[in-house]
Amino acid sequence: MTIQKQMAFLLVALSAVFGTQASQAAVGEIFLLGGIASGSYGTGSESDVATTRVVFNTGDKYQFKVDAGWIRVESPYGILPGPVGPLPMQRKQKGESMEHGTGTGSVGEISASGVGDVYLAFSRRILGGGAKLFRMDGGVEVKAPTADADEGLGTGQWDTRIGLTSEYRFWSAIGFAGLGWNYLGDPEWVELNDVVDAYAGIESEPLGGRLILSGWLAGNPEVVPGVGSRGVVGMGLRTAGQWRFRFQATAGLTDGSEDFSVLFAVSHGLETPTVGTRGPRR
Amino acid sequence: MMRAPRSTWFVLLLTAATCSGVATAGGHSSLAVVEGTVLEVGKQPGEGGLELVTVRLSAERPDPHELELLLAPQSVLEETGFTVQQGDRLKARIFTTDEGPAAVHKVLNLSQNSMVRLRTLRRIPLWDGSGMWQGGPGLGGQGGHHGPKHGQQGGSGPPR
Repeated sequence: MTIQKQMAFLLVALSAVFGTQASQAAVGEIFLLGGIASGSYGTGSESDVATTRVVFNTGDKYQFKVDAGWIRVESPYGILPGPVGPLPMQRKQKGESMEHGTGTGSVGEISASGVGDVYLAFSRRILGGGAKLFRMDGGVEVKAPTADADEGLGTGQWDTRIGLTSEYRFWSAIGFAGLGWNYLGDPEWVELNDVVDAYAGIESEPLGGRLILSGWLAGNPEVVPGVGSRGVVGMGLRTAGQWRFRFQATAGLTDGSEDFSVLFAVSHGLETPTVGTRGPRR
Repeated sequence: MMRAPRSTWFVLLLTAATCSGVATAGGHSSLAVVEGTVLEVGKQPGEGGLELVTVRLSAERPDPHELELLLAPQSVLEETGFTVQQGDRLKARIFTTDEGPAAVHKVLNLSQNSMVRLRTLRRIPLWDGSGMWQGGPGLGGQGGHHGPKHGQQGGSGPPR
């Protein structure tokens, strides 16, 4: 995909997002994220992916989100840690056609950077919400293959995820869980399994007024035959308020998982909450 | 072989610094948790001169007594979907340093399975001067997106 096509796609996506935001009285949030994921996947050598992303997220009942970023991949075996497990990449040499294959072998070293895939997600509250203790949302997420597959930055295929998320608010904590089905487009060199993914965890209420802690487990069956299923344990810290800081770390529990990943994010709520200086105070 | 990147330590230190600054800024009122049955629902002027919904509660915990709770403007309760009526059982975290009705930090209606946080721990109301809700999308709770996110490569992603 050319740069022009990528930029056109981003503009269309952003127009859709801001159009959605304007049509509802919802609180928006812009994230700036930096993340690193690293895993050996049984190869003895690490595959690293670093990302810088901008995410726009709209409000409550209806949510629309666009996630676009820049990624850098360093992988001696051409393995890209993907959202549902490691994916084998195959870098195309200029002027050569890509070989067809069915496995993860001899894919070659990848050291590349560029525009990542763009994720568009829409979800709607379907149960509870507001002041109710229980809430469930249903949604669909689409990955547009804006990353350059020839450089090993993505699969070059469209992916779709249909999922449910739910939460239950206790007096001092929130339990949350999610379940999704992933339809993964198959690149030329490997056939990917379409898999279910699931996660569940708990989050504290704001400690000391603003600090929120969370922990969770997440996993899915293997995406590439023979690689193994993915299972990770994660923990997160975030702050409340108009400017929100967020740190997350995960550790892999299975061979088919990244060894670790870390993510740091700063986000900004577009609608000023009363917290701070604006509201009535006495 | 796992190696911790320098950025991990950097973000840990930055997060710790942010949180310690937050924890020490400002003074908090004393808080207490009460639980009981609603005897009466009323209204009276509160923060910003707005008319706020009040509740007279027959508290059983921590000790039996009657007290008046100061909730929020009717418009805020309507927007968040929180309702309260005579006979409902409530659990509330209140500020105890005030004279008169006790301002409510967070209230759980056990009869209707609903909960809403109305003020910050610094007793700042989560509504604006015209009585419009400003508490964000996580209406009753901690305002949040949480948990792992399924998505982009290179990290566990932003919480939902």
